[in-house]
Amino acid sequence: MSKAAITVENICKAYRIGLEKPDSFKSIATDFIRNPLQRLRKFNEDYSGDAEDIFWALKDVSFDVERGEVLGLIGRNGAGKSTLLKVLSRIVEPTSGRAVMRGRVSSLLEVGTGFHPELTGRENVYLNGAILGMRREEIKRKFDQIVEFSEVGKFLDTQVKRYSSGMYVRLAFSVAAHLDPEIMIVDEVLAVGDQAFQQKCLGKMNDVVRQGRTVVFVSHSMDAVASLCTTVVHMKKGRPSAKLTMEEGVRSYLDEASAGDNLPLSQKPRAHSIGHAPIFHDLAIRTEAGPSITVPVGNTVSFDVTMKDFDDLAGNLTLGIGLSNGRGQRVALFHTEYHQNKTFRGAKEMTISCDVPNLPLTPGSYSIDLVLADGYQMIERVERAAAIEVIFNDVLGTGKLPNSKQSQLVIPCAWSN
Amino acid sequence: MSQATMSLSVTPPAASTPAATEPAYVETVIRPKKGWIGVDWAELWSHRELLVFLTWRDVKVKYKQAIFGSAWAIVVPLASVLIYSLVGIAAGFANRTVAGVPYPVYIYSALLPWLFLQMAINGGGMSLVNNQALLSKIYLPRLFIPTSMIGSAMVDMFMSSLVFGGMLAFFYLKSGFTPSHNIVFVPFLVILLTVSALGTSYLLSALTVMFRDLRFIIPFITQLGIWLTAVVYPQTIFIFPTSGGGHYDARPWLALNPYAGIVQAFRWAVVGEPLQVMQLCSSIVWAIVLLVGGLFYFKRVERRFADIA
Repeated sequence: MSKAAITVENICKAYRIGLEKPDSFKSIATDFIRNPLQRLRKFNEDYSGDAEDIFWALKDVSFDVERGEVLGLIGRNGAGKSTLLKVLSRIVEPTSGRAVMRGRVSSLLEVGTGFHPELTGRENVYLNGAILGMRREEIKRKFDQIVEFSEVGKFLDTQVKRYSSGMYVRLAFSVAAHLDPEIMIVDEVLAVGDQAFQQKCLGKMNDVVRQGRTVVFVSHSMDAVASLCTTVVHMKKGRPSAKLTMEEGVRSYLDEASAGDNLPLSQKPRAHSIGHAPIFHDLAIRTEAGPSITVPVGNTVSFDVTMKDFDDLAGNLTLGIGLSNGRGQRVALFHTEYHQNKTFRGAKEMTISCDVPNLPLTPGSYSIDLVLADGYQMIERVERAAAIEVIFNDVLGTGKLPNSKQSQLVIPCAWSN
Repeated sequence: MSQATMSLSVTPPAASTPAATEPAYVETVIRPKKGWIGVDWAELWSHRELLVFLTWRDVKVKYKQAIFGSAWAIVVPLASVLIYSLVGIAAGFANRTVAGVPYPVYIYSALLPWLFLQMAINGGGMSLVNNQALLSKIYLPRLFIPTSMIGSAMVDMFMSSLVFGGMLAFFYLKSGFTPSHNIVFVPFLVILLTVSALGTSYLLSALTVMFRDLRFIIPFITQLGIWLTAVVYPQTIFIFPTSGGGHYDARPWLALNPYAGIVQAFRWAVVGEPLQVMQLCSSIVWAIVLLVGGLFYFKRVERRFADIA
């Protein structure tokens, strides 16, 4: 039995609200005069009790990461993901609890930490490499690879302050990508550069994963999590979920994302609005079996969109219904004008229905976005207005379907030889 | 923050994988620390290359933008010596020094260590707040950040000692002036100076993170310091005539200044001014107190740097 690469035991991190900022002499003096006891407690950093001014960024976080495991940490902003990474990277100290890292750790919370704008690309590669924990020899050995990967070879002796931001992050990521750790801690840094370079970064990360390195990875991109991670821990308000499979984790994250959305449609936040009072009022979903949000693959689904109080909008209005998959990628759009050259005028109240026959999506949950526009001007957009769950249905007659990772659509085809 | 301990325990091979031995992984334990925290010397040693890189960065960055580049490391002390010499001669200080010593040499012998201290106090004190990303985005031995400032100050001091060497040669050729034999003690004084500067920069850099007021106080310390350390005039001006026709020697009070003794000792070593033994002893004690106290304070508050910075 080998030990886990990372063992996290009951890690807690408390911040005393209002304390964790620099003191000034004035505030110390006035604090001390006002409340000497509290001041003393502050100095002793006593986090006992449940005082109101304590914020638990992490509370009883425990999990193991096995060697070779790629763990995704997901959660909303402020759920404690980044704090946990900082604790594991030894940047901040936990308030209580214990973690053991077995192996050389590289943490990458930012690309280009320590990059100095006045220095040239070449100099920064050495400096940044050293800061990330590489030895001079190692940097020297990998220098050509790093430069080649970054695609900035021509500008190597130019100060990085003259670089475009794309070149800057490419060079910075390249240094980081050539670290050779046993455990890697990465915070959302893959989203750098243009599309092509992002693909390259993900590819590099995949290499790291394939070499059996242990990785802890924070991301908001369910797509990146889905393509890299084997297991997921979902952080909510400083507390971790049990360890989930990738599918469960993504589901859990999306559930939480829509959990705040049990508001009626008329009160949901608008992703875009021209300042008009809310127009979208209700969205009803029907299947062949009646009102339901679970749709078997290949069945007909109908959307009834009710809009109210927009009789002041006289133009040629269009309505679009978008479906996005669990990774946040848009997979379909149903549009009044694109599909049927249909536009309409505002009214006091109006319900428009859209029937989609033979929904060809692979099983999974899909969120529904609504967009009302007047020509090219968007009037109101609501994201995640509702969600449907596409469930297995033996449309191909084989008892099997491609899963959502393999294919987004279920399209029949004929094979012959 | 956390101490990395080498794990020497090799896990016994599992029965199912006969020949496979688990590689001995370096084990890092992360847990809160209480009370006083020692310095992890082994870690500092294993990261020594990083210190070199950081020092090199500080030196490089400082002169990179300037058109004359590192020539400023020579021009600044030379110009300062020129100005202070002119002022000193005009004010009559030049008559109260050691006989036979050219006044610019007299000034430079104290200005050299002082400029180093000034950089240690200003640059070292601000080093942590100026490198926030290194505190909050990555873990590295944070002691290296102020230390690298001292390193780059030493590079500067080395450059300006070359200028000083040139100046000594000039006055030797011009008037046959030779430095005092005490000059052999300079290496000892440089060590003392470095210890004092390191201690000061550890203490001030940590304090600056914790109390931002120091950003404004530190420049004031060095401005005042050049006068209270008797850098640009002889210490003899602290001998005041009294109404009874005698005089009051206020120089022992300078022992309260951690740096006065070192700076004066440099004058003793180079131009043979009588050594202020009490001041030097006091400076030695100060240097040790600053280094030990600075290290302790730094280590104690280090674990909160990332929370605050």
